[in-house]
Amino acid sequence: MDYDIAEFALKEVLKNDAEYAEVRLEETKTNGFIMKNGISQISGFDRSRGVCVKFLINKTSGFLSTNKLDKNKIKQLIRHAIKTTKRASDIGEKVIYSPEKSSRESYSVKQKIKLQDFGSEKKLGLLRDVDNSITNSKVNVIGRYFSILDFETEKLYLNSEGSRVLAKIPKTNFTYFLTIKSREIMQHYWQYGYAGGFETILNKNFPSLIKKEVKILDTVSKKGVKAPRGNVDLVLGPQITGIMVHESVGHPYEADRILGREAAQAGESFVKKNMLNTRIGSSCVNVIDDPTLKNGYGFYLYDDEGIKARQRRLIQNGIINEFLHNRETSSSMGIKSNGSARAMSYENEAIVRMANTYMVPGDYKENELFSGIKKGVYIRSFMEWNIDDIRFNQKYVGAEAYLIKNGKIGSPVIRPVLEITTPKLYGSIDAVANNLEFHAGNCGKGEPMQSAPVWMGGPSIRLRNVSLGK
Amino acid sequence: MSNIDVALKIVKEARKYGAQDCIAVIEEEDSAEIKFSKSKIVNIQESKSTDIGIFLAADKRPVITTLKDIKPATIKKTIKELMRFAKKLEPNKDYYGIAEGPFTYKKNDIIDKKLPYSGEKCIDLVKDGIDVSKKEGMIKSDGVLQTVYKSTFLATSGNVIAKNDFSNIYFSIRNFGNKNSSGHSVCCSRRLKDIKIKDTAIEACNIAKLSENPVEGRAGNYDLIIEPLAFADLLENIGQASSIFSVETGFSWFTNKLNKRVADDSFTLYDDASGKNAVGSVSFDAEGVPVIKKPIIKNGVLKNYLHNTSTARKYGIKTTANAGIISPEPLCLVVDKGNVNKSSMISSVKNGLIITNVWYTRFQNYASGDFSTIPRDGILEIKNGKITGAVKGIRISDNITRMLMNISAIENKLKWILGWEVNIPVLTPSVLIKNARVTKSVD
Repeated sequence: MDYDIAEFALKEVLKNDAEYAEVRLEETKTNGFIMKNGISQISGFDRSRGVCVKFLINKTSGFLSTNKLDKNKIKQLIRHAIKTTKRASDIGEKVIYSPEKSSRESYSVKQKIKLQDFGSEKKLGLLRDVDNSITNSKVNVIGRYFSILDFETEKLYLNSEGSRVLAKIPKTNFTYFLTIKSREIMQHYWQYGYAGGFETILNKNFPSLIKKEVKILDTVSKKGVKAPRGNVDLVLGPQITGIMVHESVGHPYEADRILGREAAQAGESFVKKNMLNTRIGSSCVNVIDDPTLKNGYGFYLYDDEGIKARQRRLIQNGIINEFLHNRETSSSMGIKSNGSARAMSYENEAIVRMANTYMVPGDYKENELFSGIKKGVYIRSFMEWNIDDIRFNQKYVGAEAYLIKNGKIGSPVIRPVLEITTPKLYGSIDAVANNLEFHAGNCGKGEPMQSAPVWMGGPSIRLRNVSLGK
Repeated sequence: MSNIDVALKIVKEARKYGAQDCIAVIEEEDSAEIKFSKSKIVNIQESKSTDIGIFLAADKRPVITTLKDIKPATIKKTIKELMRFAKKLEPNKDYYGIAEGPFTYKKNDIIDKKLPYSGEKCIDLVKDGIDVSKKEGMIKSDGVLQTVYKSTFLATSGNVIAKNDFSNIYFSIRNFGNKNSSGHSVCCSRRLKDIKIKDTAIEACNIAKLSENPVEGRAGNYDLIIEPLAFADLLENIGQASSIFSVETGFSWFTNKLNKRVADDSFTLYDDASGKNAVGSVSFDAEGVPVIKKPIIKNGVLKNYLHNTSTARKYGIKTTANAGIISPEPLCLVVDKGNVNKSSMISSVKNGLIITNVWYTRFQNYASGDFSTIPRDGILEIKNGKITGAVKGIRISDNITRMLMNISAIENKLKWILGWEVNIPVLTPSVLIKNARVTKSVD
C-alpha cells in the first residue's frame, strides 16, 4: 500500500479547515470458491483498495471515499465533500468526540498455514472431500452448496490527534447449505469463520462434520415428532445461545441505537440509558463482547477510530453493565469509548458494532442441564430466526431438536418454535453449561448496509417454564 | 484509452492467452448519501469509484477477478494470473458459455447528469422533508437521501459492446409521532427534479398519525392489506427464488413448479428492466444481452425461471437476460396492478390489519416456503371495513405460496420501492391477502 496517500489525504483535509480528521487506507485480497451439487462453480480472486476520509467541520460529520488513489482526485473530492458538509452544518448534529489517548501501533494475525500457501487446488479438494462425504453418507441430500472464502485486509488508520495504527488481519470462511429429503424436506444453512490462517478451516475437519450434520437432519426428518406446545423447560445449545446474545443483548446495547442514530433502518433499542445497572436476566447470565478473542471472526486490537480494543461486559450477573460505544456515543454519555467502532470497508463510515459476543460459560456439564427436566425440549440448531427493530420480540425455530423426558433425551422434534420477549428469555435462564462454542455470522447494520463478520457464542443453557408456539 | 477501448483490450488479451469466453466490465460510479437522525443531518457521505471486472472461461473453467488499474502491463499481468488460476480448477460441467452478439439496444433512458454535483440541492431537499414533518407534528424524522450516477461499459468475446448510463435518487424517511407511533415511506426516481420529498414525508407522517397509541396485537388469522413497502420485501424474496441458481441450490420453493399454480390467478409478476425511463430500467444484463420483459408468475402460474446464457443452454432454452456473473438474478420486479382502490379494499375487510412495513424476513424452509417477517411502523387494525386503531408486537408467520394463493384483491395503483432490504427496484401495488397467520411472542 502507498501509505503516502493516507498522509496526503489527512494533511489535505486539515488544510481545508476540518477541525478533526481521520483516514483509513485499505487493501483487501479475497479468494472465493463455490461448489454446488458436486460441481465446481465460478471461482475468483479480488484485490480491492481504497481510501476514506472522515472529518468534522463546524462540528458536522462528513465522509468521502474513493478507489482512485490519485492525489489530485483526492484533493478535488475533499474540497467537494467539505463544501457540501459546511452547507449542511446549520441542520447538522453537533458531533463531539470523547477525549482519548492517541494510539501508535502495528499488529497482525499469525497464520500457521498462510492463506496464499493453501492453493486453489487444495481449497477445491477440500470442497470435493466434503461433497464426497455426503454422497457416501447414504442420505438423500438433494441440495448441496458449499463455499470457501478467504480474505486478508491491510489497513492503515491515521487521525489528526496523532494516532497511527497499521493492522493486517487474514480471515477464513466455510459456508454450507444442505437440503435433505426423506420423510420431509429439511434444510440447514450454517457458516464457520475465523481470523487466522487456513489452519482454522482444516482444524474443523469439515468432511466429517458435514457428514454428521446430514445424518442428524435425516434422523430428525425420519423420526421427528410434532413439537409440544405450551409451557415447557427448554435447553438451548450453543448455536442458539450465540444468535440469542447477538440479537437481543449485543444489538440493543449498541449505544448509537440507544441514542437513536440508527432509527431509520437498523432500529432503536428497548434498552434506555437509565437502564444501566438494572436487572435484565437471572443472576447466572453473563454476556461479553470481546474483539480481542484469538481467531474470532470479529477480531481486532484497535477499532476504526484508533481506540485500543478491550473486553466489554454487557451483562454481569443478570445486570446491564455496559453498552458498546464509539467516540461520539461515549462522549454523549460522558465516558470513554470502549473501542466498538467498525467499518466494513474503506467505503463505509465506522459505526458501533459487535465483534465476538458470547454468553460466559457456567459450571454445569451439558447433560446436567437435562437432569431436572420432566418434560422439555432440547434445541441444538436453528434455521429461521428474527427479532423486531427494538430487539424485544424474537423468534427461533429449531432445526435439530429433541424431546426431553424425565431428564433424558428422547425422540427428535420437528421445528419447535420459540417466540419470546427479551426480558422473559433472560429471566428464565436457571443454568448455564460449560460447553462454550463460537459460531460465525455476518451482521447487518448501517446505511448503506454494512455486513460485519462476527462471532456469536455461548454454551448450552436451560430455560424454565417458557412457551413453545406453532 | 476510452473505457470501451479498455474493455476491448481486456477481451483481446484474454483471448490471446487462451480464454474462450471473456466479459470485461468497467463501472464508473459517483454516489452520495445524506443521513439524518432526530431531524438533524448526522453524516454526509460522498464516494467516487471505478471498478473493472473480468470474467473469463478457459476449457469450461469460469473465473472472475477485478483490476486495480487500466495500465496495459496490469491488464496483461492480471489476465495471465487469472488463466493460471483457471487452469488449476476443475471444469464446471454446468458451464455452457456466454451470449453471442452483436445486439442492438433500446435508446438510453433519461438520466440526471447533474446528479454528482447536486450535494447542496440534496441538503435542501432533506431539509424540506424534515420541515414538513415537523409541521405535521412529528417529534423526529430519520432517514437517508442517496444518489447514484453510474456509467457501465461492457465488452465480451461474444461480439458485444455496450454502454449504459444510470442515475437514481432514493429518499427514505421514518417519522415518529409523540404517541408511540411511527410511519415509514420511501420514494425513488431517475432525476432529482422528479423526487417527491414532501409527499413522501407526509405519507410517513400520515401512517404515524394513524398508528398512535398502538396496543399489543393478538395472535390469530387476519386478512392483511400489505402495502407496497412491505410487499416489496416479499417480492424481492420471490424474485430471488425464481433464479435457476436458487432453484438448483435449494433456496427456492419453485422447484418442479414450472407451469404450475403458485399464486392466485389475479397475480402476475414480471421481471422487467426494459420499461422506458422507469426507475429500475437498464439496457442489458451482465453478459450484455438486451433486457426483456418476461413473466415470472402469470395469472398465478409460474412461467419462467430466470436464466443467463449458460444456464439456459443447459436446459435447452433461451436466456431470459438475467445474467449475473455468478448466478442469474432478477433486475427489476413489476407486479400487474389490479382494479380495486385502497378504500374499497379496507371496506371489504371484516377482521384485518394494514401492514405498512416489514423487516427481517427469514425462511425456515426455502423448499416449502415457510417463513416469517416482522411488521414495523404503522400496523393498523381493521374491523368491519374501518380502521379502528393500531397494534404492535406481532409477526407474520406463514407460507409464501399459501399467502400468494390467498391474494383476494390487488390495488389499482403502483408504487416504486427501493429499500434497506429491497435492493432490486420493485413496482408494486398493495395486495389483500386473506386469512394470513399472525403470531406473537409470549411474555
